[in-house]
Amino acid sequence: MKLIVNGVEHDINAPPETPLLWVVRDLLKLKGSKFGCGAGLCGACSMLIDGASVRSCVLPVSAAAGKAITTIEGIGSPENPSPLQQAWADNSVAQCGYCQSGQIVSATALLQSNPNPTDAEIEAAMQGNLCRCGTYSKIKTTIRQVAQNAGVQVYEPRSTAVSTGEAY
Amino acid sequence: MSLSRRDVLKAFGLSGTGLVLGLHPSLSLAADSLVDQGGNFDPFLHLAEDGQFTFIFPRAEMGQGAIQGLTTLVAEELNLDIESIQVLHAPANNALYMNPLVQGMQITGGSTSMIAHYEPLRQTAADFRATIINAAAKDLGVAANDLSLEQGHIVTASDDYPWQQFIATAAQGDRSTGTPKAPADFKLIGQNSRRLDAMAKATGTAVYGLDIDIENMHRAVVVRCPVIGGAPKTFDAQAALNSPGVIGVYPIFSGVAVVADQLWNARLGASLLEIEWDFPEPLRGIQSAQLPAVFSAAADAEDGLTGHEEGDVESAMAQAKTTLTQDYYAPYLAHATMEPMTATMHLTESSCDIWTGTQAPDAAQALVVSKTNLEPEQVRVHNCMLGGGFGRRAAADVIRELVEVAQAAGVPVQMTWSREDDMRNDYYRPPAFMRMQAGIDETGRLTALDAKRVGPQILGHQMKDMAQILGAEMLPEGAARWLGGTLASFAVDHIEPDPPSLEGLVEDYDCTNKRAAQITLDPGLRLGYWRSVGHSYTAFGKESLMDELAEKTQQDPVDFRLAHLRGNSRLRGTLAAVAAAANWHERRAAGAHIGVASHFSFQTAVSEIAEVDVSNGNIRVKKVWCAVDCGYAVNPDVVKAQMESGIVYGLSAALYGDITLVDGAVQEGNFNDYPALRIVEMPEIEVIIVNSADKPLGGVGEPGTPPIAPAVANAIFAATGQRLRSLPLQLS
Repeated sequence: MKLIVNGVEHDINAPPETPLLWVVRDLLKLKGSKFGCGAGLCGACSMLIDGASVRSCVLPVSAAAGKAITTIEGIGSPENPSPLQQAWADNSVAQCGYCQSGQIVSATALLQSNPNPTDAEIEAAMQGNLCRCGTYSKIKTTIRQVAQNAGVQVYEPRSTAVSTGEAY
Repeated sequence: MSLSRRDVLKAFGLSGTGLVLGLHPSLSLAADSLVDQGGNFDPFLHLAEDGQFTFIFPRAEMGQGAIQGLTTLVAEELNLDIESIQVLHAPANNALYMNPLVQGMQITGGSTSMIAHYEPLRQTAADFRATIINAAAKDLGVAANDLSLEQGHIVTASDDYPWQQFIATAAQGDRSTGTPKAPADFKLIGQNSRRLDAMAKATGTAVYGLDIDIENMHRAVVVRCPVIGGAPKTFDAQAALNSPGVIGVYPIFSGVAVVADQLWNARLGASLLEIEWDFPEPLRGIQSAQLPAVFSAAADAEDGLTGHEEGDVESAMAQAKTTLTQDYYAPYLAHATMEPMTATMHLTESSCDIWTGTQAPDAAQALVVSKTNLEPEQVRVHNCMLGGGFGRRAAADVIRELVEVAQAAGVPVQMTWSREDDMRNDYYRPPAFMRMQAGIDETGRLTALDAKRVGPQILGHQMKDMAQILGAEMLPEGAARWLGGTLASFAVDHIEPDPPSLEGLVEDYDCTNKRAAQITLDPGLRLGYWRSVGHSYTAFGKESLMDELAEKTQQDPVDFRLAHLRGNSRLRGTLAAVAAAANWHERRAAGAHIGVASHFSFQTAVSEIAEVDVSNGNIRVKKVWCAVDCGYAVNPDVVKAQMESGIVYGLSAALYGDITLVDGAVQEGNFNDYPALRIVEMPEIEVIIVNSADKPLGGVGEPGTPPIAPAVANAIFAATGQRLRSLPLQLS
């Protein structure tokens, strides 16, 4: 099946019921998305699928075939972070950091669809992402800060296939 | 023969529980020798010929920010930008990288990282600075006094030179002794700085144990006994062996392991195993719902083993004008780190490489040594970022499983636990029943405080694991088993209680007559160190009682506490500060639903005030004010983050945390039945840092946790008149 991840098309050979998370991590070797619960309860595995934040640990890979999948790696890199990632780093949001990829994916989905969310909208959009270290205060502050920066493109969607990746 | 607890523990090479704070032995090994291979000066600081400066970080970064704090100390003495320093987790080598406060162990825990390294690491860096300046003086033919070190350059009145130019000379001479900067000269210590790991963690590029991928790496999934400690009696592996990708099925000490090419295939294979178990005694017969009553009956019947005694409690209690006795209860808890336990091992005849995030790399190394013919230097531990620790990652149980699997399978193996594996195979925070009795005189002063704690103790459980490691290294196998299983338990049951059983129960307030005693009843579920350890429950007992005493004697809860803190200036200072920040008296007079708690732990004082809303029948914590005095905040932003973190962790436990046992089996498995606080439930938190400059320094990773449960319980009383004496807090 064809999987389009961060704008790169991959030919995947995996049982259709395999969760998307493990295909992305173990076959495509993109390790930024984390495993936390395997039940869609914690959000550490969040990926953008057609712009929405989705729990990839419970999504069969077959359900994601052909759709535009964006992982944390597709949002930005240390050399070229998105404005949200830059603010996230500048505010030292992360503690252990394990949930943070998922948090940033969900925050990115929020800001794309709602560039100036209220506090209640931030909480609603982020409530599927657990953080045991308690970075919630800084997460809220950072999202607000980036949202207030009106006109900033928070994320450059890479939803179209631009190259063909390795086959697995 | 009378053995003191210290003597017993010495036999294990430990001081106290491994978390006891003491004096700082200097890190003399750091200054042992100057090695000129690649510009090595010492085990901590490394200047390469290309000018790259590296700090070998001797502790583990699990979110607490020790990486930032310790690197700041180094940058300060060497006049470097913090972000110019490359920081690496130290390899397993407890001669070089042991925690100076935890004898003989390379462990990160007990909120010790800054306390342990503040003086010795600054000295090491100052020595490094002096050594390179003296080498430059020699090479340049000028006086050392005319040189300074700035941003990696040796600076003279007229010129500057890259510091790596002087490595060779520095390595040939003796190491110089430098003088660490005086606080007045600090440029970085005491200031906020961006965390070194901030960008990596914002871009998904930080490497955790889960992220390791090595050539020919296979995946293991272990099916374990539903009751921890049980072993497989018989099993049928045929269906699993026929499952796609499975290369083998192996019985190990904790269950049956399935090894496959991919994790998903290993999981599918594991789901096909049929196993009959030998269930362990006495745990298989334990129902946790019965424990409060069982513990209470023990408190009625027994005096317990005294662990703390001042004055004469019995006569003071008899003479008191008013007495009050109340029982409090705290259940078993799991750590539930965001990253489930994960490790990767490549074992050969002559080497073993381990990649994992661990609070105790030397324990992982020692465990492999005990199970193989390898020497310690053949076992390399590559510590990764820890996806949360909270005490859980001090245990080497995953490594023990992995070494058995790697030996059987003969291939490089990664083991990633499921959330359910993790929840049901933890080293749990022990339950505690606390019977608290107090006597008050006619002036409203506390004259007697008598506390009994009933429940299991941690040390014996930890020693059982320790014996696995000590077995090969120090003792004949049988002796190790006996020591681990029997002697440690004997000591804490009969000589002196395990410190975490009672720590924090009676110490904080002025009172001439105090006693704390331990009654040990152990259901058998294995126990470990959970963020703030014993303080996580003793603060609930003590601070709930203080609130009830204030109410009974019609005193203000803050004023009543302040009047009993003459002997504890740090705690008094934080309580006054938090009361001022929250406008306690005005807010309370206006009818706000607020509660207060103060607690001293890990050499740090924390006082918290919580405001709750119970209007719709649920407990919602709206705001928390928190004042902390850790002596001096090396990085105020990290201290603030740790207070928020400790509060959130403690609040999850206070509102939801409850590990229950049915026939000895842990019932909770995931975040649906063991919930953690979500962003919608996050209170606004205001942190006040009280920089008293009081010495010694205190830790910050744990002390934010203990006061939150009682502060919320006391606020609920203000809101409803209900005294909730059992955790998690539930309105009736």
